[in-house]
Amino acid sequence: MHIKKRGKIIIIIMIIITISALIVWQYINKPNIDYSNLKPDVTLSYTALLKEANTNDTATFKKYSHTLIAVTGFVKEIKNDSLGFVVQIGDTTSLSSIVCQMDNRYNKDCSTIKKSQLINLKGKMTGCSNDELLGTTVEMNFCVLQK
Amino acid sequence: MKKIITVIVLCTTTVAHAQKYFTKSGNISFSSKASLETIEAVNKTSACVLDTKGILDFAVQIKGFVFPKALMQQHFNENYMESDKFPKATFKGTFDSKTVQYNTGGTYNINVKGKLTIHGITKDINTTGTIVVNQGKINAKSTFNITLADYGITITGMAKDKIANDVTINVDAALQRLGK
Repeated sequence: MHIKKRGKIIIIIMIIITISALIVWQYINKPNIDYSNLKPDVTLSYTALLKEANTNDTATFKKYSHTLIAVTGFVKEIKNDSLGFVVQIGDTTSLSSIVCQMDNRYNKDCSTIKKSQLINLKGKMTGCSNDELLGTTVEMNFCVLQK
Repeated sequence: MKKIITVIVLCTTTVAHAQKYFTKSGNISFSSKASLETIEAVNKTSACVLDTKGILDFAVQIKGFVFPKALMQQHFNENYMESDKFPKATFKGTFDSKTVQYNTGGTYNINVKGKLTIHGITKDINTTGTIVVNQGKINAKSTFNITLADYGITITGMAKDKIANDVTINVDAALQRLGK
């Protein structure tokens, strides 16, 4: 009887250890957040965002860095290499642009994007800068097409 | 007549030397190979300007580095790079402009020296790279190592076996002519 009880305790401890190990493993290996099914906190046109960043890049970054933003605009440039897609939104007449690192999990969606196309994408802002030579740049990460 | 030709040649040379090339979507990646783990991350939105006078500048937003796992990304930004405090890494360098013929296609090996700023600390860097000129487009590449401690990045505790002290940085930027 005593041995049976001890056996049960050992089994319970092993189950607890296994579950704990699984939770820790899942926490360590958690993939990056997928924004495809999340509703953006704010939606902006590319002109409005670039204008705001041009006025004060530091304040603009502070304002949007912790939000999921959706941007509508024309595709100025698409780069596709072994590391994935980068889409630039902006006017071809200006060097200012919103540079979006697309989420590699959605490369198939990105392959349909064409130059000059009006698109709506969402992602996380990673930086904002004004440069005398390169104009205003807003950088975004983990971007996905807004459906 | 000779004088006119000399003036034209000088003007053409000056214009050619003043040309700038740029990208806002250059690739900068790094890899750390430690005993327990290899960590790799990439930023595909680095800005680069190459002046044919022999000047090469890079700027990269630290928060733009993408890791395969969310926790790595979080630790990189919060514990090691302190990206809220030091949001950018920059490189300002020079190379011998005579080593590259921008009007002739080809691969040119260059020696670059300059100042690399990471985590708010600036250090001198001497490295090699290649510039590939192909049909008016330029590709700049370089691979070099840095020691994290040189930039005030300290790895402590359990992470010591997972993050190497020396990290390899790869730069690959396809540049287009500025003002085309």
